[in-house]
Amino acid sequence: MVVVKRSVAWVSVGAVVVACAPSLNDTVSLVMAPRILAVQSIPAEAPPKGKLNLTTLVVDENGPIAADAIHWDFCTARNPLANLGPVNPACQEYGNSALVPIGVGPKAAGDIPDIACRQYGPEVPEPKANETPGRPVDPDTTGGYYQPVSVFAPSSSGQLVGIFLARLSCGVSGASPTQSADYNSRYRINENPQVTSLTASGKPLDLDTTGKTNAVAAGQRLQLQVSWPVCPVVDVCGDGVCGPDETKTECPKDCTNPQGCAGAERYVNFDLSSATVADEREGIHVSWFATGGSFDLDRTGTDGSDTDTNSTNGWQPPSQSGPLHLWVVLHDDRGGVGWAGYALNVQ
Amino acid sequence: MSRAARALSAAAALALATTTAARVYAQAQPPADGAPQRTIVPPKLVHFVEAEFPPSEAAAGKGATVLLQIAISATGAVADVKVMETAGAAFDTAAVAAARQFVFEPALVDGKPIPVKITYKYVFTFTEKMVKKTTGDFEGTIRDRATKKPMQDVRVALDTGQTTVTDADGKFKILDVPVGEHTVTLSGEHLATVGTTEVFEAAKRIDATYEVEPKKEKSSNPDEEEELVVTAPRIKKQVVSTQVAAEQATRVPGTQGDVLKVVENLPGVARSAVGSGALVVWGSAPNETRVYVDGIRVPRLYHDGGYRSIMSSDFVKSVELIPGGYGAAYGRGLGGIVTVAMRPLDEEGIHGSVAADTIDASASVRAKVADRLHVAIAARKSYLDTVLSAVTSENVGQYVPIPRYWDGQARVAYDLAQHETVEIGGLISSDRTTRSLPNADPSLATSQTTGTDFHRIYVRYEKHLADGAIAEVIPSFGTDTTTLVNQYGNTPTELSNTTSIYGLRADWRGPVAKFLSATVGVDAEMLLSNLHRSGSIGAPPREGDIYVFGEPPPPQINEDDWQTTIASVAPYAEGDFSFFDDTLHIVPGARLEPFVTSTNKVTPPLPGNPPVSTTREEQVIEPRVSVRYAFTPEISAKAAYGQYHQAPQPEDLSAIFGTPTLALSNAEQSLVGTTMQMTEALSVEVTGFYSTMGNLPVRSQSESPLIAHALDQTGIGRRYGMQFLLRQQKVGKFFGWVSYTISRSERQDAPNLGWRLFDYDQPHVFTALGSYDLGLGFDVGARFRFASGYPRTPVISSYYDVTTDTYEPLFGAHNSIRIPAFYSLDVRLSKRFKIGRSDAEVYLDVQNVTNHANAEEIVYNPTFTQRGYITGLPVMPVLGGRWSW
Repeated sequence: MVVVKRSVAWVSVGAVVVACAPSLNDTVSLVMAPRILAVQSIPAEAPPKGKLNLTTLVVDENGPIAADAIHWDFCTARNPLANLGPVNPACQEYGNSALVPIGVGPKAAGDIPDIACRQYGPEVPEPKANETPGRPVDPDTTGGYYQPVSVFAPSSSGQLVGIFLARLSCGVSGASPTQSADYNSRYRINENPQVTSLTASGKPLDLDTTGKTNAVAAGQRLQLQVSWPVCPVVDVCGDGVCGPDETKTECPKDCTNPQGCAGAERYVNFDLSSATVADEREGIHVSWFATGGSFDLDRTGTDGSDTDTNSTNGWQPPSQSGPLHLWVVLHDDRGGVGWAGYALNVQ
Repeated sequence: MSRAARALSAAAALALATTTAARVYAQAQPPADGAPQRTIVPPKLVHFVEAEFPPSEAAAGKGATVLLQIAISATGAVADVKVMETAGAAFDTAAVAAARQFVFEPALVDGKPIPVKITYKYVFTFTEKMVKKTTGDFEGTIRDRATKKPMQDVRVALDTGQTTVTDADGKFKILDVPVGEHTVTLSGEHLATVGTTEVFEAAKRIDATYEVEPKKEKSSNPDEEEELVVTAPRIKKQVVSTQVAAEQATRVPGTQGDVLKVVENLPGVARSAVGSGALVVWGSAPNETRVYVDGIRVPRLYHDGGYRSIMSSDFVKSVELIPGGYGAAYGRGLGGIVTVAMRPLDEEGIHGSVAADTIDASASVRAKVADRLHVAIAARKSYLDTVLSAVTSENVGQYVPIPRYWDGQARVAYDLAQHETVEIGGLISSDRTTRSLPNADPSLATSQTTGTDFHRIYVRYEKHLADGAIAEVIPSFGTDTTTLVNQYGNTPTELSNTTSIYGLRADWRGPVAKFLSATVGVDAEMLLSNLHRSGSIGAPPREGDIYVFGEPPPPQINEDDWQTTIASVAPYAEGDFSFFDDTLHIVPGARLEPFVTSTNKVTPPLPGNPPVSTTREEQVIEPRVSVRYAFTPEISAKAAYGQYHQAPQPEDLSAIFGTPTLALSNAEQSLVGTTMQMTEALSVEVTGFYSTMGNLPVRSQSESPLIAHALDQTGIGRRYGMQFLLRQQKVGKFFGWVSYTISRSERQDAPNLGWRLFDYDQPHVFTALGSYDLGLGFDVGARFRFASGYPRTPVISSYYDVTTDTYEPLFGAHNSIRIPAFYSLDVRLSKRFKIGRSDAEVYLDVQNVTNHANAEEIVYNPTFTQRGYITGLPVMPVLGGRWSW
């Protein structure tokens, strides 16, 4: 809503061209009903036929809930250009013929369809008879292609539907053979981000997986800070991360079994504007959730140019005492996901 | 001096009649009582002169008899002639003039010649014999523009040297005017000298009515003085059009004195969304309606936001909206056209104006710098963004970008001869908008920058030929540049288009036969475009896309640079056949237009390979016809039909974002209507229209579209409706109109999809406005507008994209709900006053005086569980002033 500094202006010089946005409930950080908060794939990126191990975070106003009845499906429907959403609407229709079941339960595992890079990647889709080749899918800004995974979670408030996009290793599109070779040699598959700590006004909070409950004062505003690992900004052999310019030959220690970094990783991307293989760095985006109180912001984060390894947010606990839960979900630019949950006791 | 643009239809043919021989009889004088019987011989007519049948009476088709008394001298000469029984002034005059030339053998008394008086019946007999006259006649009426009362003693002069003066009824008549275009000058004690031109044709009569303003104190504002409006006869070049003179347009509330802004108040024009300035006419897309300034196409009528038009009002004589069914002289668009007529440069001395309000400031100068040389220049610049930042908080413009713009015009006109002019001119315009919405999460931060520039340079050569025809040649060159840079999180959108435009319009229009006037010409245009686009194929959205306001674009991106050439040379011809004493006009026409569309990439080239171009040639013939019939002088009917084609947009010819091989889109337009002139100033017009469109490019519906086929031409459309216009021309102190358009515009994107509402469909548009002269320089006006909201597709549920932590909407039926209707009451109060020999005006233009919160767009909360509306302008007062000399 526009705020008029000087009301006299309205009648004197006027010409105020404003638009007023309505007041809507735009808070998504408060968990008041069953919700799917996150899905994670391990590995965070895989080629066709590669196995994905999928797990999800499903919660309600009382905390994490059992997700035994979750249905997992690979969606095989391509997204038409006329649809501006991320996936074909068929992917969210339970029982649709375009869905290939891969499991039921809180976790699932499935092999990525072998035509995934034709369906969702840079490879030309299967041509129809007497037709010229079809259009490959465009990459996202990180050069990524994604296999849609549909998640259907029955709940007391109806079926929850979540779409997870599992990153595919499909190579690069639009590059010359030399550039493709360069890209393939330097690209490292994504690693899911990881929460290393969450502090409340400087005090570290214990994870709910430890079984401990963190005490907070009712109504006392807290400054929360989430941190993630520091990723090297230059390649150093022996740092445990196989960087883009390290090779198995030069640094077997890091690259024999390449390990990524669970923070803001460096990666290579094919830049369409300059038609070159360019170095990039991930941004980390933080989604904040709690079953009570209120955050200053629903989401915070960093972009690729920001070398910070943490993000802060204000949180006002509720004024009533009692237990509640808080979750922090990290997303990196390449589709990697990590989260941490905390049990709190408001006193 | 304002010169009303006017072309004349064929006047009624003049039938010349001849007189028959007259019968003569003498009236013998009786002898005096007791006098001896005398021998009396009556006079004998030996030289008869035939009187001219008065042309003014020929139209009646009847003869007459004038009884004369002729005094004959003793020599036999006619000494005097008197009218004893009149048959009307025209017949009397003709008969007397002829009789004065008679020669008699004198009467004799006893062989001696004597003077006598005889009575003589001069009989005029009308015959149907038509005689081709080599000259035209000119008659008409001059009346006060405000009071409509006839004006006596106005001197009417032609450049042929012929003059006359109006009688008590304001009527005048000049016979035998040489054919060709002639300047008409009106002057008088109570009238500032004004002029116009008329085209005279052989054996035709021009019957004109001139409405002029009586002389006031000297004013330098050309809109207030020396305005000449020709009301009849007037050629109806288009079957349906609404034309507004500049003087009226500046007084319409909501225009802030901008003449061209009046277009948004005309019937058939939908209300554009706040901040867009788009021109939606009869349910057509904005890019389907073309805008011309004196025959030169310009890309837009309004600056961004629609707050101001792209040229100075001082340069505008009138603006005309033709929503459909237009003639063969124009093409390349499936919708309507807007034509802006520029004010002729023919004023003496130096004139100009300076104006400013809270939106922008402008200035213009017009001067006669040599005997035959006139120049004019105008410029304008906005500062609305500065004003807003001074009075509001920083988040103004998050939802409605605040435009920054400037424009300029320059003209040099040289009279090569009396009826031969060459003009060199240029138009330039620039717009910028910027808005950004930061966010603590960079993936949610948005920013947008747009730029729209164009310029035109033209040469206009115009010659009025001796036979009344007009020849005109207008070569032009210009560039259009548009840029869009949008960033939604990490997803960029860039679109730029630089187009060089070469244009040529040449035509001849004039009389061909007594019943036929014709226009033949050629309209050529070539667009050379260089385009760059990067980002998502879904951004910016296209018409027909299903999305919600503020939705992030699809994350998939691509990039393309491409060049296109779109050219066509269209010869056209049109004839205006008039029948039954000018009551029936049939205007057939045709336009032959070969299009060439070329793109340098038929498919995305493989790395290291050169692109392969593609060229498409299509030739179309576009028949057009219109018919008008006047049942009575007050009631007429009209109908029109035409075929139209439009080349694909250069933006759609990308091998990645579009389809390089797109063909022409087409439309057929039909309309029928009637006009009734209820009083001299009050008229009502009703028009129905129906239009179909085909070959419209739409997004591919396929899950596996072919390479370089992101767009298919499977779209079809239809639009139909009626428009009503009740218009009161300015009589005395008031003018105004009421317009209402009811329409429906629909599209079908593919054969397997149903019909849906067009994104710009607006079924009800109502406008009522009026302006009243309060006296003492005060004017007050009001405008009420009502318009249906644009259709939108409802969100019925959503799913959660866990990868990006966003909810994605799931939609209901396409365009099945609407934004709530808009209504607004606007008022305008102005005061004119003198500053020395110049004029000044201050005005307060208040829009939405009731402060009604009009919904402009539908928005949802992030989970799509709540719906709300972004509301537009609150009460918006604009205070401005203008000084002119």
